[in-house]
Amino acid sequence: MFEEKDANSRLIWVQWVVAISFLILTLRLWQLQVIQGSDYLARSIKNRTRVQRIQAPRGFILDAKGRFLAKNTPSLNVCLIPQYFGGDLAAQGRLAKILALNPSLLMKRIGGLKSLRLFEPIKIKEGIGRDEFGLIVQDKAELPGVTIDAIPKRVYPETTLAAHLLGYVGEADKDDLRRGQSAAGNYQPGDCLGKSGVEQAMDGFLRGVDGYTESEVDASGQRTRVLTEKGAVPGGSVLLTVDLDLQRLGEECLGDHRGALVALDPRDGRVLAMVSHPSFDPALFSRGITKRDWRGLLADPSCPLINRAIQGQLPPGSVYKVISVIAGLEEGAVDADSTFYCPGYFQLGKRVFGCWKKGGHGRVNLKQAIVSSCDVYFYQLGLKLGVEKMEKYARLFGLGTKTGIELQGEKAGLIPSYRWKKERFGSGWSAGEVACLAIGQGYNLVTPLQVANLYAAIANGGTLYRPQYILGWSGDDGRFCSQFSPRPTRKISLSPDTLKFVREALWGVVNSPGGTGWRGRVPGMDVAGKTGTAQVVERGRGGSRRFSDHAWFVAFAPKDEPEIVVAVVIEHGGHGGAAAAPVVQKFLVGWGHVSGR
Amino acid sequence: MSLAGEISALIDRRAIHNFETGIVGGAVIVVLLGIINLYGAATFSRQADSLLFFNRQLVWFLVSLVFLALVLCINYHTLIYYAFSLHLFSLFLLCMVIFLGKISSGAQRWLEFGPLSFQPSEFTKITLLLALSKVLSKSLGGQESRSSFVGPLLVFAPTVALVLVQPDLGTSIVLLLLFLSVLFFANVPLRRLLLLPVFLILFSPVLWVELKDYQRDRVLAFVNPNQSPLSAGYHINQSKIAIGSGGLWGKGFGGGTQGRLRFLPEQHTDFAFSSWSEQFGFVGAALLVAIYFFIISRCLRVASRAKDGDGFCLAMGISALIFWQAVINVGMALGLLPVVGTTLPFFSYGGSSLLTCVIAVGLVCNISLKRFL
Repeated sequence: MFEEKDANSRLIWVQWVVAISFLILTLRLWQLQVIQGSDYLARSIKNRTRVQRIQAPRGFILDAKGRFLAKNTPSLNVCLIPQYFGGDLAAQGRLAKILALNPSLLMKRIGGLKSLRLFEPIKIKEGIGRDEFGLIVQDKAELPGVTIDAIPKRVYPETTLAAHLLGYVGEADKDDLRRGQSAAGNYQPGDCLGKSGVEQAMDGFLRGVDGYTESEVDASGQRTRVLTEKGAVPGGSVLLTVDLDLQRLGEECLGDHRGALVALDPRDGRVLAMVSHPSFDPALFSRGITKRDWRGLLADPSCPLINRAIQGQLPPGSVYKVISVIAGLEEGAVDADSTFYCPGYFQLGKRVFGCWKKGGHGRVNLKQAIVSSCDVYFYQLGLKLGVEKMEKYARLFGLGTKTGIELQGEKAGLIPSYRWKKERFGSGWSAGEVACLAIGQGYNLVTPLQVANLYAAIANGGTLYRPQYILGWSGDDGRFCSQFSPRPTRKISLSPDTLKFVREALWGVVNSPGGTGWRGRVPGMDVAGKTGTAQVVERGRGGSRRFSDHAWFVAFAPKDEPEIVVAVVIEHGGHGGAAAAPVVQKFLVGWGHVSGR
Repeated sequence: MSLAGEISALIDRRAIHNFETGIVGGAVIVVLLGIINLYGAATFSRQADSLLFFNRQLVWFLVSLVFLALVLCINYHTLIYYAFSLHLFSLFLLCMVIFLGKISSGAQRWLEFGPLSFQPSEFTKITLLLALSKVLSKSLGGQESRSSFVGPLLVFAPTVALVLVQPDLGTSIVLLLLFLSVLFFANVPLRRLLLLPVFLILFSPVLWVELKDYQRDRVLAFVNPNQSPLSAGYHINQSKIAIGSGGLWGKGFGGGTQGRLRFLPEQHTDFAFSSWSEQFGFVGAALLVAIYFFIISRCLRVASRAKDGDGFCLAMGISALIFWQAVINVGMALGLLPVVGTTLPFFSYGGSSLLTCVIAVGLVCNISLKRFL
């Protein structure tokens, strides 16, 4: 046998090296496979599975007669798999040309999204037209990895009509995702959801449940088989109480005036029309609004995104006077025969408060005061009542609190109290401020919906309803079931005589000689209503200020068995009787036609 | 020695008793496991030629058995006697590769003969060991001389140079390790032996510049595999996922999704171990590692019992060959070493590699048989 002492001592070394090397390999195997095995298993599953979402079609929104207000249309999106598309310059140029995109921008976009996940298609352009679609199909062989997906997209057949009520949909943003984690609707990135209006309020119902396909893919991203599949559950459709004809009529009547129109059914509080002007096109958002458009909407001084019907907080002016009247009668501060003399102004200490009619109304009783909207009468009534009594009745009729309509962003308005003044300004009420409250000026702020709802309660005999806009929805079988049931907020206990008196007086406002609301007269219809001219200071261009009053008119008809209440406000429209009453008049005439009266 | 003498030596009772059943048996088991692995990785794949690798490897296995018998029949002294000629022929083939070789993935490594293609650099490993054994056997007597270092270097330098220009980093590294290992056993003083690594480190910046881009990427990817999941780091990551996801018991025969769905690159050759580990888990992988340990230990035992210097040297070299290739390949699959293209002996797909390893094993058996004669 070959003997070599030194060589053999080195051999022992070698045996150790071999043993330790293999021990290290085995330990590493143990580490990867046993200790971290489940992590790597998860990664291998993630490697080979692709989950593709099947977007559930969103439910429709229909008007009371089943006409479409919001529906879906297939939108064609161009997607591509970067790993297939690769660095083919000719294909890049071709695609960029078809889609009218800058080639370097296109590649930048692809590059930015590339590392997210291997062989995952990424969206390049949404909502392509027929021409682009045709060109892509035609050049399919030269565009590796490019696919076209048809995705249901929200459309609004009536464009800007009722945009504020309907709302809009958009992709879930960070806030939605954070909220979604706790709420029932678990939003994921890329989800489309209602952002405002009915779309938002009914989102959970309209959205449906997305389905998915989980398939196995190989390293090149090609599907080898489907592992699990779950179909999408389409969203339910919602039927609104709003009548498309009335809504359109309302928008026409309001015209280009900045303001709002609300029509309610006083018998159950259903919303018949809700108009806010200026409006916007909700389809802008479902396309994915551009930053420029979004900034434009936000920067627009007329605030087109604001739903003025529920978010506009304005001084009520004389439409508030019914509160003073009811408070006066109920609290015994006045009766129908109480008279005051109106010289055209009211002197309180050193201050002089004018009546809108410079020449004065002379001696007027309560009914005449309402009909002619005599401010001097109400100054004195207000002083007799005091802040708290007026506040009590204002709140009873729903002012100063949200009506509870299921729309996000509704404002409560403001009905000042003794305490409020103390907390806000640290001072008590001066007599002048109290007097002004009674004519609806001062700190009072109301929304058009609140005003409509207040007059609805007067019209229906004292029941304040929570306004509702949902007539019914589609059940599981796709049929509509009428689910509407009135939701009274409270029954206001007043003497029947008081309400009867107020209704008669309001009829007089429109129909008596000297009534401020004569422009609201409709032949063959007993219209009752009240004008309002809310004094405000408008900031004009260059910081100049000018008085430009908000014009109010609110009416119900027919007087004895009212079926509709309409409240209109025109911002800086001037006199209520002159600017707002004709709008209501036109609307009521149209309503007569629509309802076959 | 006559052929009759050779045969009589083979059937000698002592020879049969001393036949290295363990080494050959272990090698055959690993080859068969490798073939099973090829089948398992192919079973459910949709490709029409999914069993191509499996079928070919089966054929190569049968061919390699013939070569094994041949090597056993020839006295290794004869081979060592002709070592320089054989190695010169290897170098000639390497030159042929440079001028006539088939280009595949950016490197020229293959020679084609009709339907057959083979990699001369694989056979070079054997002839290099034979030549080194011849050069060094004299110095093993104990007369330490200057030639004990210079001679081997003269054999080694042109060989590695020809492989480097292909370029084949993996084989070059294996050749270098073989060279160092053999010198280590050939009683070359450690001081001189250490000179070479120092020399290498000094020249590593030059080497870095000379590396191909993809080779540099691989080294960088080893340092940080997550940085470039789509390119070089992808290999390491996918291999680790394959191995790790196998868990303790594996995903089962044919159940390896990483391999079957081709997430694992080079799953038949360089990453065959990963594919195996995915299917058969820690148990299967550890078994394979254990068999290698067994084979190498047995080879080392043969070396220690060799009756002469060149037998010792050759057996040592072959032990080193199997050891380094196994450790580099498995270490790479486990993310412990950078990705250099080396095959796993006996296990990876490839005729050249399989033949080389079987011949090597045959030589070890040959040395073992000769020790009593």
